Amino acid sequence: MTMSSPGKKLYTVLIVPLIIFLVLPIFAGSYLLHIMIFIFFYAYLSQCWNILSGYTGQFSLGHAAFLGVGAYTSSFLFSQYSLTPWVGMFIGALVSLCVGLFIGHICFRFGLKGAFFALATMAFAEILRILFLNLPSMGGAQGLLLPLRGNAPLLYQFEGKAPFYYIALIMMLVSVAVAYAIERSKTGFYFKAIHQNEESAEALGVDTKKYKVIAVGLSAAMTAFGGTFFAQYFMYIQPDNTYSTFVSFDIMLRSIIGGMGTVAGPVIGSFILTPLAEITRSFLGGKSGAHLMIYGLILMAVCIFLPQGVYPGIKKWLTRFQSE
Amino acid sequence: MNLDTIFQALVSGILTGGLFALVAIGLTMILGVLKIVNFAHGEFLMLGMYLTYYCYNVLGIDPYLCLLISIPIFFLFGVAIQRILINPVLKSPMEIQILLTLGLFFFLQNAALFFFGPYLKSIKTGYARAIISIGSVNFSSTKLIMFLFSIAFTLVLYVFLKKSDLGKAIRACSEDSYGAMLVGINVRNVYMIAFGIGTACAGAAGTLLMPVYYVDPYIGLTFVMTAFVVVVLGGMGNYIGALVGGFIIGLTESLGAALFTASLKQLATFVIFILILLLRPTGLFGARRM
Amino acid sequence: MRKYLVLIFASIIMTMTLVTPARAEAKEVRVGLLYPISGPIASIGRLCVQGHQFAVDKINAEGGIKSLGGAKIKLIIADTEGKADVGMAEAEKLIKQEKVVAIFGAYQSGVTFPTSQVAEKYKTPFLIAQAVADPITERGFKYIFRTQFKASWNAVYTLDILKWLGEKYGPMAKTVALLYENTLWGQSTAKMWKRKCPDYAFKIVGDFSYSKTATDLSSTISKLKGKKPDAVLQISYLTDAILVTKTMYELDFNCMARIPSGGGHSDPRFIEAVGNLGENIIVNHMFHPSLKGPGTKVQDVNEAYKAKYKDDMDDYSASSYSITFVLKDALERAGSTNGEKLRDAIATTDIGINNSPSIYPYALKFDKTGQDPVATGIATQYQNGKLVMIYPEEYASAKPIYPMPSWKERGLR
Repeated sequence: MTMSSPGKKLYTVLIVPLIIFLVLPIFAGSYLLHIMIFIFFYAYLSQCWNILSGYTGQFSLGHAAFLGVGAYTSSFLFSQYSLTPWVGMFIGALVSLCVGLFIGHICFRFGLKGAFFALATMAFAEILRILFLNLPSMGGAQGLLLPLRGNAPLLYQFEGKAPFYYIALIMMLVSVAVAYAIERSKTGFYFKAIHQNEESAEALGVDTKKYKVIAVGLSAAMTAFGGTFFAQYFMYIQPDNTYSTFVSFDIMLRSIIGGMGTVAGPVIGSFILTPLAEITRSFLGGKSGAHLMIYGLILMAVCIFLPQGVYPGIKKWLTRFQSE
Repeated sequence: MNLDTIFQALVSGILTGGLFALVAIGLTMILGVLKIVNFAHGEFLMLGMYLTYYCYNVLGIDPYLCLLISIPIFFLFGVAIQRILINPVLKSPMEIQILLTLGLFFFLQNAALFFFGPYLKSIKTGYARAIISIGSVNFSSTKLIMFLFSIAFTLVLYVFLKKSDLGKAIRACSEDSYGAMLVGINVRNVYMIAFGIGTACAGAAGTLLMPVYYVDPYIGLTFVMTAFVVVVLGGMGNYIGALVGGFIIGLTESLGAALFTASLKQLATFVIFILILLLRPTGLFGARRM
Repeated sequence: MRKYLVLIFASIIMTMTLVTPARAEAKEVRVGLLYPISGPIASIGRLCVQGHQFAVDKINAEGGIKSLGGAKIKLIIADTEGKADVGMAEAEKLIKQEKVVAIFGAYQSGVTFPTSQVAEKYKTPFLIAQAVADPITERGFKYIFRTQFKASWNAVYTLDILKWLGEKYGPMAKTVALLYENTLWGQSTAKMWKRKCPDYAFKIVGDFSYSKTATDLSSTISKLKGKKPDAVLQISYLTDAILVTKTMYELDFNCMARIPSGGGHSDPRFIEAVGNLGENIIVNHMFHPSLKGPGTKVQDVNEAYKAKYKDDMDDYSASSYSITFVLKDALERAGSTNGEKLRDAIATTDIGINNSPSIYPYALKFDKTGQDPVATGIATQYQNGKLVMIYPEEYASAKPIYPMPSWKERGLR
């Protein structure tokens, strides 16, 4: 077995699915496109989560908060001031960045770790959900219904699914690139050091609080772009489908199943979990509960038999594949 | 503000707090000893309610008598869950443990939906209608019974942990499992028993709740979030803390609803939760950090 | 080379698993049902599905769609899980993969908004029998039709009932308190009440919202009691309806009339859970089997339903049942399953009360927005443990008990 230039080999391996993804909308039906959009979209969100939780080990159970802030900011600006969501999404990201920095700052200022940090983020998301439910200016429980403008690319509205497909694909690729860049940078090195042993990182002179706050801010701002995408795709948002704890679960599950703290993990996780939910639903959907029961069983099985996520296994296979 | 309303809110808050405490005690035991954030805890409560419902409606067993059935059944259920599911992930990182209990949560919730159906079920006992009135304050006798049982449970557990050998072993494991192992305690067994007791508490809470409330497959979620808040408030693994924490949250919610508006009362709970996490992460009464 | 083949094969297999081929058979009209049959409101979703199934069985047994050569209607059931995103994916699947000609759905307003948008995009008629949020039919869509009243009409209807009670049976209520769950339905109805109460000379003395997952409402009811309202206008789902009723009894809260809108209070499980505490509550909703329609039409349908499903028809199954005949009628007239032709046929629906298979107390037709302009509700009251029709009077089977006797007068406390 020889390991000749694995990087180059890896690129040639990745190029095939990438070409398939690029040409898929030409012949794929709209249902398949919808599923693919969801795969990319969740891969993107989960990658954002992974940058914080996977790399630095600060486990967030409240990423729905950032998704919701992004979705609400751009949608509010669009429906009230007709500001195009293309601009709104950057403002959303900015707001979400502030929320993220705030949460990160106060949590890490008081040294919250592990389960405590996880529960705090979950509580923050819940607080936002309850607040937005009771804010009439934000539509309250009714939520925000985005004004339909037909096929208006300048307003982030499209008739077909293909534009959304490509936006989601680009978002996923960008998030992968960001994660890849972080992994190779000094910042990424500090992130991983914090994950492995915060005390030693501190002892070596890493300003751990600063890097943790940076991770939360970056992750929050990126997640907000996903929020705007969500709002534009559905044209309708309400507190219960943006700020819900279940949204946070959906986001993090993909990374955990794929493999936390790896560039490919969230993408692989999304390619497994999203179709899995779809398939169990279409085969067992007629019987209440059956498909989510199986979903739960599979989650437990992954924890027990593949606690590292599936990526390490795939990596092993890929290495063998390359050296063939 | 009407003074009657304040008195009523105080009394209802304390009575509801007793229930929150009972749900939280099981959770705090599992957290304290096994260091597992158990998202499926509310589902144990839900199953306890179904058990009580069927005992009453099919076998005609009084709900309070049903405690004698539900406590052992849920103890064994908890032991089995711990053996089969929790044990393999005890050494895994926290996120895997959370994922596992989430998986269990999805599974149990939807199994209940599948087998018991989506419809709400409730039982009608003769004494559910008995109302106790003190001045302008009213409450039902079943709530009082639930409250008294919660306190009794907590005290029994407390004494058990303080005095019995097994209780001492559990406490030792909760403080330092490695040290406990060194002094010859069978940590594996203790973990099993602790998870069993935690589950039995949830099952018992379900049984006590049944005459007051109703059950459907989604009821667990309603309680488990509040239970987490109570656990953190009281300090993870602190039983008296869970009891007091339950009262505090019960009072916060009822007074919050009396003074402000009911739809915002959960907001107060979560704000307190975050403040406690930030300022006193070991809870009001102290506990070991995870 | 081999490894690329493997990769390509893997990709193809993945694609194949996502796309199961559509199985279109001749002489069959495929119709999609989009309801929450799992998730927290699965029980209601199932009742909706049951109502459609019952109607379709009847249509098929009577020879199917005659203008399509006796084609049978086949229902394709899809589960929204009560979530908007899942609902959208399922709507997409129903239309593109299952090739349904029309969709019924989606019970919740929050899910109906985005899913009906999918149907509009693919020019597939979307028929709504339950979702009440006003803006659903106010978006300028062409393929959306609703046979149900709007939430705001229903809010006004509650005030009509209260006024009618005061005028006919007296005394007239002067003060009202609003008590509602804090989501879309409760909030939008309360907003309408606040706007319309002055027109009816009802003074709002209390405005109480609560979260429907509340475990204790003593404080809220205690505050309500402090306001001493003549009548309580209420919006509740099932679990909170039970909690409110039990708490009102516990705290000895009495008033002249309690008028909740549909939802929890008309559910058979409500009265099962609260027993005689539910007595004399007046419910404003869509349907009740004691409705005195033309002849015994409603009762006949209800008997057949009961024989099959062991339960009386309720708001959900009855509305689903009735709206199914809108589609049947339109299919007959269109003689085609083409989306546009079918849409035009539905838009010109005109099913009167007397000869229609529908069991609604009003005609089925649609205005330009796709809303049935004559849609209205009914009022029933719990008397001796059963709901009886009290309003509108022409369909009523009993006289109302008003004012509502206090707990003491009923010997309950």
